[in-house]
Amino acid sequence: MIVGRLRTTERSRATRRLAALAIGAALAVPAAAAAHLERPSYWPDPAPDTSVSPPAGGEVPDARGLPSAVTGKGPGDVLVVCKGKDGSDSLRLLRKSLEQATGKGFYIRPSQPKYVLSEKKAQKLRRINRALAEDCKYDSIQQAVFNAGNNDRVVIMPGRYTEPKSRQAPLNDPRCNPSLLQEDASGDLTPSYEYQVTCPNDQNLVYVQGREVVGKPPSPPLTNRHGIPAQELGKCVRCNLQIEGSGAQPTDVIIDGGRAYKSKNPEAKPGELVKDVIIRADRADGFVVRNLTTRGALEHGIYVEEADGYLIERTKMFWAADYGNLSFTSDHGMYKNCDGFGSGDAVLYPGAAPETASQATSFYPDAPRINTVLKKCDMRGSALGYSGSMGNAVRITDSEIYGNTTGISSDTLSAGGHPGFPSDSSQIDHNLIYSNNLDLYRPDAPIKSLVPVPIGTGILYAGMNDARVHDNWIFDNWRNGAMLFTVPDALTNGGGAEGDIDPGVSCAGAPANGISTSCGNQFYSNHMGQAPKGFRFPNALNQFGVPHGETAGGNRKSTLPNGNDFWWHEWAGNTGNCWFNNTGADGTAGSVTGPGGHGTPPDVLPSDCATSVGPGDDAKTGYLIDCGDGPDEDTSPLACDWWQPPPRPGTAAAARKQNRTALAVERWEASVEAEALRDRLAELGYGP
Amino acid sequence: MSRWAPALLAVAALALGACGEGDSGDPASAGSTEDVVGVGPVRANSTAQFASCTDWRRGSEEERYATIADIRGQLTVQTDPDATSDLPDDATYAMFEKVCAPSYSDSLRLYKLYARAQAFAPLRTDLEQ
Repeated sequence: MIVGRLRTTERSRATRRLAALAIGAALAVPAAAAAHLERPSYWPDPAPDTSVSPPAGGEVPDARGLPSAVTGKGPGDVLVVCKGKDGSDSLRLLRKSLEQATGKGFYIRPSQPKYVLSEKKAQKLRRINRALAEDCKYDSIQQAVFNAGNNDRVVIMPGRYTEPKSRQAPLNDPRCNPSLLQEDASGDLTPSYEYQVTCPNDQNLVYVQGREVVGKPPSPPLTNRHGIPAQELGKCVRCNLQIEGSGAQPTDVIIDGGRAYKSKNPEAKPGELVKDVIIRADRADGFVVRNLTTRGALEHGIYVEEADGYLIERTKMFWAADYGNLSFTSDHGMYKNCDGFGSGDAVLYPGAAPETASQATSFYPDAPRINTVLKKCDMRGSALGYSGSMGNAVRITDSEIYGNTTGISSDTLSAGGHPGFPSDSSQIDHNLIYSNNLDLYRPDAPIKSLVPVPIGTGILYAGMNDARVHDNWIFDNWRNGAMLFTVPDALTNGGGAEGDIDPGVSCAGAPANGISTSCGNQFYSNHMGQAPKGFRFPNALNQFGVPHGETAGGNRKSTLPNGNDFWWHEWAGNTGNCWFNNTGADGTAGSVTGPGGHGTPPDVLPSDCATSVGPGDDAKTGYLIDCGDGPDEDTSPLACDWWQPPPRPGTAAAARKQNRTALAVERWEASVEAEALRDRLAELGYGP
Repeated sequence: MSRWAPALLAVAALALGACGEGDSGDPASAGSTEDVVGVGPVRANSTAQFASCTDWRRGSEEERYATIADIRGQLTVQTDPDATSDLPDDATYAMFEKVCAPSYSDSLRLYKLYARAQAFAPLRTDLEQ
């Protein structure tokens, strides 16, 4: 809304400064997913590599069942890792695990019922493990991986694996540092692929080299990130590798980058972290991890880089300081039946996912398609359940995302180092997204957050096109159910997009008009503010004392309102964003709340995708201004409130806060600061 | 800012050779200036990956500026030969000082903060002077 305007000369210099700073902060879309630093990376060729048989990549690999590890069937050799002489310790641990698995049962995902193993299956597992023990030749996973080749399997028997030799490997090893560091165009250094291969345990507890080292990386890096450059693309040496636990439960095998635990509980928090990454799979097409747990990393639990085809199944990722799992510039990925918590950033992060949808080129002849699927996973107890900078064409489905500070965040903000600008075609469907109210911005926070994100938020899109958010239950997020921001092109950091911008950006006039994000997003058929019949909060939600509502009990639907269901930035000119067939806290469309308490017109969410155009809302931009400058302790009505726990929806405190903010917005609309903001937006070409 | 934060900052400013928790990185060769080492654990001659608000508080002014230079280099687009940022180092310094003041910010990674702050720098008229 534009009201009376002061001439530029009438504005004070101080106000101009404030306004400019404010605009910048607002448009920066703060609190987005926070990326990571990596060598210049390329999307792998999506076609299967037929130089190995069966071919590697081209699709999500199938996991080979554990029984075939002892029958001799199937391609490749089986390398067995165990604890104790002839696996005696592993077999003892298995017996103990089976007692629990066949008795009380165990959780693969805490949100789901316990799984109880039948005695018949337990007996089969005993037989398999006894046979594996006879073949066991390794007590080190890394040594087994070193000795593995294409199509091989590394089977790990129950036990906690700390990989002492890897831990002892020198950090910043002079064999590799600095001689094998790789320069970007401006001379900044990162470890090259050859660095990782030559000094595999410098940063990694277990390193999987997928391909031979040949040649040097292009210098400077190529702007076309489609395909690993031929000059450094070696042949497969560990493609189609499978690493798996042979226990009854994923926690029977723990690969551990931490130490100084106070208990033997698999979920125990490490007192100290000693290695950056627990498993790094580098250019390892067709990579499979299943039935194990990674715990305690200075950075990431499982890191998949430049790979075509990977499957992470029946796997738990605990206490990674940064990401439980990080997949980067990788294609044909699947996470299934997984669980993670304790991440300072996100539990799962498929970043710089390939352009297989709106902006696909002939490099992806089968486009449009989803390139990465997260299915049946619990993402919980972390700063973010999921995040992905340039998370193109990633689908999250049939999962539960709960008890985080923010549940899901996907952004176009962190352009530097992340090819795939702008992010598009995220799909979030058939999930339960609830109670993401974890306060990590207090001195005694249970997890060390690496990134500031808004407390009480279900979904946060900071620059996304063509998303489809549908058929989810989104409830009990005390600030917002789902947020959609714009990231104008001028604000993608580090000098703009990383690599080429492929055609097909969905915003009309982009990229010439400088607005390439937040167009064509659809939110439909979601249940907002209600939990499904019979829903009960998992006990895991109480692990960090996350505040939440109360269910109705029995087999009834529970009313568990979000603070606000849909928050939309309403950026002027954004097209194709629509919300339809959603229901609110009382089960009707009329009870859906949005677009937000801080906004001015339209205050009605557009339902017609074909005609939806953002009207502009400077008040919301003003609200974001303060958030852009990071956490502080300002609690004035228009200050960013993301770092303070929101009041429980429906309470007098929530109503007071809403009223106070509405009044402040009214005052702000007529202020000199608001005028300056509007003028500045116009000067930048983002005005009416 | 919490009441005790200024005191903490004053004490922290005296500390040298900052190193992150639980990390064995050798800071001896870090930083993107010739003589001054950045704050935080070192990887590949850089502290950009791990430097946190805790490290920031422990660093001297020189070390802090070395950290900023390091992060700036790492976070500019890899194909850009200039590696210059519209966010001046002084403005970055001020931003880190503010965000890192409260005790709850201990573990926030500086490069993640920088990535956000750098984004809006082109629009800041106060930086054009």
